[in-house]
Amino acid sequence: MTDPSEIDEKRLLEAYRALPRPEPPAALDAAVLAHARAALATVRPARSRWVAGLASAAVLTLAVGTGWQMRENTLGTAPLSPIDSRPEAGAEAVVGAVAESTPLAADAGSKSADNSAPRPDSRDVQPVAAEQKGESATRQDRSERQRSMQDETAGSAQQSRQPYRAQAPPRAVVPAPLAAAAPEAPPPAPPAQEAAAAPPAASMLRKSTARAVEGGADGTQSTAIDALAKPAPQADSVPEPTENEILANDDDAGSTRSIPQTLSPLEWLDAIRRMRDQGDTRRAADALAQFRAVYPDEPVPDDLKNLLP
Amino acid sequence: MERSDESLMQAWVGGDAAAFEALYLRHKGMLFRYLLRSLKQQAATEELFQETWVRVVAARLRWQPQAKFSTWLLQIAHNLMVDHWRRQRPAEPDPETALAALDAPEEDRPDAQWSQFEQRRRLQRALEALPDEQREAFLLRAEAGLGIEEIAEATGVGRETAKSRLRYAMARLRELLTP
Repeated sequence: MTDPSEIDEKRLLEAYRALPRPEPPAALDAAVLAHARAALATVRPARSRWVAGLASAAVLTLAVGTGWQMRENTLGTAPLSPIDSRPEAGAEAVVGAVAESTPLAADAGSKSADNSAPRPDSRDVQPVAAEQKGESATRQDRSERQRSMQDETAGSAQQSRQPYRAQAPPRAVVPAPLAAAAPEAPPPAPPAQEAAAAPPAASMLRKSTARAVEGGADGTQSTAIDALAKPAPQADSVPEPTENEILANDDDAGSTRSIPQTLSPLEWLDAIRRMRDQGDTRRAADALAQFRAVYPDEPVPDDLKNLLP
Repeated sequence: MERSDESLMQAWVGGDAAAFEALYLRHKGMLFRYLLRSLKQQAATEELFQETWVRVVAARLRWQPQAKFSTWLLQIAHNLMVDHWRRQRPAEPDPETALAALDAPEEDRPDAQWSQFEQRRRLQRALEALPDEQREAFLLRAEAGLGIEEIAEATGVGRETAKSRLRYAMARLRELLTP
């Protein structure tokens, strides 16, 4: 049975639907549709702006990445001769130095003057100079002994070193702060007081570390061994002397300090052979004794056994 | 198969201009009549009709697919009418103007259909006499085909309130139409 109220509602709705059904004017239709199309059209530029923003971010990222790469490359090339700063690399440095001829080694002085970054050879003047100041008293005592040694070793070796010394790097390459820190540093030893050494040995000394030179300052083997046994941080704190200073200290130390203890055994023995071949048997014998102290387990070659006491 | 309002709405939000045209053609008459018979003013009807679609366009990105499009559309129109009534309450509409807009074209009124025309005119007058809330509930039911729940949602009232308004509107119309 149908509810009378439902029948009334149906009749009412039918009567309402029978009413006129007006529609919006055509102009109103056009206005609304145009507005909707315009709204869709404005969305596309918004997407374009989004793409433009993304592109800007990508360009920025690329620029930062490129700059970072360039910075890393710059940092990677900044340290000069890093091998020299490693104490265990002393022998390797000497091997490289042996391969260099004397003129090439002399060119290092002019190169260091052109290089803005301080080179190990030039920056280490101050500590050695200070050491020279502290040892000025003992140096005077040794001067007479050195002169006598020079008389013994004068000859062709002395003449062969002169061109090398003429091209040695000047002190002017020392960085200003370091030079100012050692105003009282004495000038380098005059060439006339320098002990004779074979040119190859001098070339090796140029690249050797200062630790061995300083370790043998008093001319004793025990000090040299102690210097070799210094821990690695010592290499950072003890700067490498310049070529002239090595030779000057070499002169101060006497005949037993003509070869740095950082040489490998074979290189050391080769240097001893060169001394012997040049007639400097005394220094060769002293160097061999020093070698045996540093490398007691290394066998002495047969050709050098005649230098043993 | 005819696409649903929600499908057309999603297509339009995605950039399909033709989808909006389909939606507009489907709902423009219903919305226009709902506004015209509620406001009883042609000019205000056209103004709010356009404003309703402008709101739809502006709020399309906030539209949720779960919402019925017709209910959402009528809810926007209802809110605009409420604002309009608040501004225009002191001014009563001109009944003759509203009735003229509701009148069918003269060519559709042969003399043989005079009694039917008179019945429609009485219904129109009965609608005019209804309170605004009851008339709106009836229009949402008769014009848009909304149920009680949807009327309540479109007008922002509770289900019982919407049901009561609709029931009173039906009763009042029956009384006015009874000879």
